[in-house]
Amino acid sequence: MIVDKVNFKGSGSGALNIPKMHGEAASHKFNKELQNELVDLMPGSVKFLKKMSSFIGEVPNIIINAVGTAIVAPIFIKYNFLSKTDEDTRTYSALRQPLSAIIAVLVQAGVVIPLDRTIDNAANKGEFSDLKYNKIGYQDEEYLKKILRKANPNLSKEQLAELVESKQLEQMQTLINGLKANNNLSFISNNKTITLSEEMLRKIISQAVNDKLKFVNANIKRYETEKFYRQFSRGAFLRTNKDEVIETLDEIKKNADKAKSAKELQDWFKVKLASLKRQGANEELRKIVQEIKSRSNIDVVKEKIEDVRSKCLDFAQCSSDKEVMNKIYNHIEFKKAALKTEKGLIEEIRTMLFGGEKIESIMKKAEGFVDGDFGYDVVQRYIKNTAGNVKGLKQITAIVVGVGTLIVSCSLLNWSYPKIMDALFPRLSKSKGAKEKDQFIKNSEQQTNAAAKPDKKMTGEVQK
Amino acid sequence: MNVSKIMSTVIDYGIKRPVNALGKTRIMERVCESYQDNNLAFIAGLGIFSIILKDGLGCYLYVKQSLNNKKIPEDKRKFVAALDLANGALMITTQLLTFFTLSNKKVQSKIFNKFFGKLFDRAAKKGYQTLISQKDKFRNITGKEFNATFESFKGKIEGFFGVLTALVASTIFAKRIVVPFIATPLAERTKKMLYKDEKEQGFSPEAKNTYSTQNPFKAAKAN
Repeated sequence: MIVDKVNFKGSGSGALNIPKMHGEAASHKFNKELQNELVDLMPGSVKFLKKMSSFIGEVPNIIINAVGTAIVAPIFIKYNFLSKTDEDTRTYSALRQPLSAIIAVLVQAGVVIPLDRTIDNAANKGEFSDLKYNKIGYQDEEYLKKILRKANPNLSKEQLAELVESKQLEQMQTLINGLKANNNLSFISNNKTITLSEEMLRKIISQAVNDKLKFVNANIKRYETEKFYRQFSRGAFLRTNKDEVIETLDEIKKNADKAKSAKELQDWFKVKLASLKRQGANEELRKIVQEIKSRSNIDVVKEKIEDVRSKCLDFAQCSSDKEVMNKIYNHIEFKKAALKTEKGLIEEIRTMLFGGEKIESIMKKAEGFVDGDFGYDVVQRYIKNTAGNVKGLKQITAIVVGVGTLIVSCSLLNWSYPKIMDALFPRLSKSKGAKEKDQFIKNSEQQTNAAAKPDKKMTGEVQK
Repeated sequence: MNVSKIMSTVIDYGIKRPVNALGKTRIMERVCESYQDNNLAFIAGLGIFSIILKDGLGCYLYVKQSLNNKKIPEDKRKFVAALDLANGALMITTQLLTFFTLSNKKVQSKIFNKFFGKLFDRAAKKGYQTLISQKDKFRNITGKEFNATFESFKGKIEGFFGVLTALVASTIFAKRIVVPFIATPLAERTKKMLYKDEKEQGFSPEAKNTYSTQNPFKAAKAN
């Protein structure tokens, strides 16, 4: 589903009829909602960063650069106590900066920004002859916002955001369904169905498979290293410090039962942790208390206490560290087994890809993945590739155009700078010699005028 | 022919077709592959190339044009050119410096962890998962699902933090404060070094002779 013109109309009350999401699009929406929940739990500093991320882009960058050039830099040139150059020369040079900033903004606003926007629009409309730059199958949020805002001027900001999100998800679901049904990625451009070549699709599938392999390998490594060592050091500690741990857990439980609110419990935890540190308590014990503390809700704290207690009693039955190690090893091997099965399937699919097997058979084999949906992974990879291709194109174009506009802005600055300085700051504009000459002429004129005034004595003598 | 048609033709022949042609070149194939795989070394290298090309060429053009611009008073012309040269050299140096230090992924990761590490460590992650899974919508969320979303969110915040530090450190602090501050005294030395054989242009003695400082009446009386 391509959005070029939208017939959607909100009702008079502003209610929207957004289709319910299903399948992979629904899980994509779920992930977005989960992210929003995470943001809500974060402190103000992280929320500020998240909010600012939507403001930073080329236009604010240009403005920040221009403000820095026009206002900040001249100050450090004019009032530079390290420089022995006379102040007039420094001031003259410093005033070049604001002019340079104005020209930079004009050139960038006049050339770079429209160029960037043209490339984005062409990509979203599918106007590039090379399909790898066309985003028409899954259009940008900003582009959709623009189109939908034009078609629905009465929608509020939140309603528009919801509509944009649903349109994007619909486009994604269409791509996924098309891939599963027809074993190709296709979309409609100018009323024609455009299908990605098999070569391109194989490449995308291969990349999606490699991504999956990287993820699985990273998880296996995590189990074998980080998780294993962490669980072993915990297990070894619990085996040899059962009494101390149980006593601490009982104390935490007592205070959790007594606490009237989560905040009261958290305050108690802070005091407890400080006291453990003062007493020089084992770091592992402090980590256990910290982990229980991080479960902010009282009921969840009690659940975690019981979880640690059962592990402690379990490991306390081991007669040696070796037994602890074996226990943990078996537990991790059990978790890794699922990952290894997944890895085996990935290797099979890679073999099929290299062997030139049909896309249909590859996609059928990929249905065996337990975690996630391979069709979704392939479409996500396609979207990521297209975004990367357009980014690369914009970067190279910016370099080429940047060099061209540099010649123009440099010539413009060179032409306008002395003229503007002559007009607005004539005193600064004159050379040192010319200024001294002016001063000399002024002095001479003053003396001449003073001499020309009739001398009273002389007048008297003449009169005589 | 109306304006929008003219604009459309200009955009088509001036931007879309050349960009289309550029997009099909072999260089773009290499660039696209690197961006698809998020090849940081290549992307960083392209960034460095862009800095050196634009600032280097800019420095050359500004210095050359300033020196040959007769409209700038002569006593100021050389300082302006020397300042452009010092500015250009320092801009390239500071940008490369911040590129390899503050903009380096490892350095940014360290700075990010210093400020926000406790908010994204394992204990905190478990805490968030527990709180979120208490809501009806997320009651059945698995550890893997939560982990994937959490890591993606952390990556975005870390990414933006990197952009912000680069902006503040490089664009504002380094380029607009440190560079002009150092370039100004450096320009004086550069100017002296480049024009060490030339004498300082002062007041022309001929001008002095034209305007006598003597009181003409007194002079007449003396004569």
